[in-house]
Amino acid sequence: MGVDTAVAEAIYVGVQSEVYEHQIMYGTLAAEALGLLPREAYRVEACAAAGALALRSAYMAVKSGEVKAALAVGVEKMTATTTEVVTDALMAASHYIDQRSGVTIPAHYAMVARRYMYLYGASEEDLCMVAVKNHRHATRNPKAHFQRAISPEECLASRPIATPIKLYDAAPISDGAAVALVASEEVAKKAPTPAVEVIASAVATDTLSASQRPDITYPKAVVEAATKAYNRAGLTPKAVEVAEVHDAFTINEVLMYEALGFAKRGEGYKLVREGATSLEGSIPVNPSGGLKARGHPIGATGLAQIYEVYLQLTGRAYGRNTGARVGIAVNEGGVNSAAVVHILRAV
Amino acid sequence: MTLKYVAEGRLVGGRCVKCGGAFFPYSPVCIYCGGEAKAEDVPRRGVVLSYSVVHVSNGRFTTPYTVAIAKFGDFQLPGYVKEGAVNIGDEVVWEIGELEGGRWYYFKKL
Repeated sequence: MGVDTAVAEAIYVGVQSEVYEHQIMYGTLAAEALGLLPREAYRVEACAAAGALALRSAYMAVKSGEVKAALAVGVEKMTATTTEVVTDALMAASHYIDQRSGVTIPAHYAMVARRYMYLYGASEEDLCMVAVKNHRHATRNPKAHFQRAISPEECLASRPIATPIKLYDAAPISDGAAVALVASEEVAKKAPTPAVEVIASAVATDTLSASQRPDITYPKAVVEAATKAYNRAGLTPKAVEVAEVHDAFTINEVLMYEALGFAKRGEGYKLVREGATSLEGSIPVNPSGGLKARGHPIGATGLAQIYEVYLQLTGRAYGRNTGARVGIAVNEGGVNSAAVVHILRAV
Repeated sequence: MTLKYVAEGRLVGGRCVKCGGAFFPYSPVCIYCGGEAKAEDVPRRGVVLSYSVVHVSNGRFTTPYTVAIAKFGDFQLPGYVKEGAVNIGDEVVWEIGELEGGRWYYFKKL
């Protein structure tokens, strides 16, 4: 048996868009579904960073002493509509100068990827290796959207979405939900399930249009949020033993390696080649399969990452345990326009 | 504001009085440092920093089509590329005209 959700004095729900289900007011909906009316409950949003923002809201509510426990929920149901509708709904996370010009979200990451390859000599195959790794990890995750391995050739031959991004460089359109209960030490001690400690929670922002960044390959918000998180936790990147990062597109996992201090700028793509970020590597990244293979139900993703880090730190990620004691989760929205970083520790 | 400038055939960005940063579109507050910014016209000629050929879009644009981020003087702009392919380093100009049912700017290769 898990924890009784009735301990939650507040509920925060991360959801991206009302376009898919014509539904907002997810806070009230969740409170009602859980039998927790009339408690405090509302939605938080920063596109694909909504899930981790729900966690941050719950964390701050508990940390401030306002409540003893709060529930963070992330949810999105995207597959009932067309790819065009999903593409349009996601484009709302860019600036109107991008939207009016037809620059889709995949096209943004595509331009970042092309510039990165141009500056640092990475190849399309290097980027595909991220997808290959994450699909391999997902074969061990019974909750993953795609539980099958893919070959580099399959990825390279997949159809173009926005060149150089191909279908297998992109996270899928998924349905999903994830939750996390944040509690004070006092409440957590009475829980029948093991707890992990949130040792840092940080958010940072960058320009809504990626075009306005001096270097479009530099995810400044992620660097800022990660730096804040490391400082608050009193840790260096070397202390991190497992990471769940926002690989909405393969290029972004590479940028995350650099932003988190796992690799130097321009050298992130080499980590995948060396196997350093595989389950068996020195710093396993996306043991769940990541957004690419676990799936990317937008509002749920940030909490699905937290769920995986929780499993890893409590030794419950059966078949893919890394034995990690410190884990980091990086969730972002837009084109790294809002970044949310959490560092968790086993207790 | 931007649409008003576009109607006049101009693209106008902001130049920060404090840090010198240039950004698009214009805003009285610098997006980099929060300083005061003055309106400045975006130069016509620019260079492509990156591009992508879009094969899957939102139903409002006929695919495939090309988009780019190009640098005009100190201003970086995203844009739709009319008539043909571009590469990184190619010179482009911006023009204002009809784009997928509205008046907006787009890039053309020189």
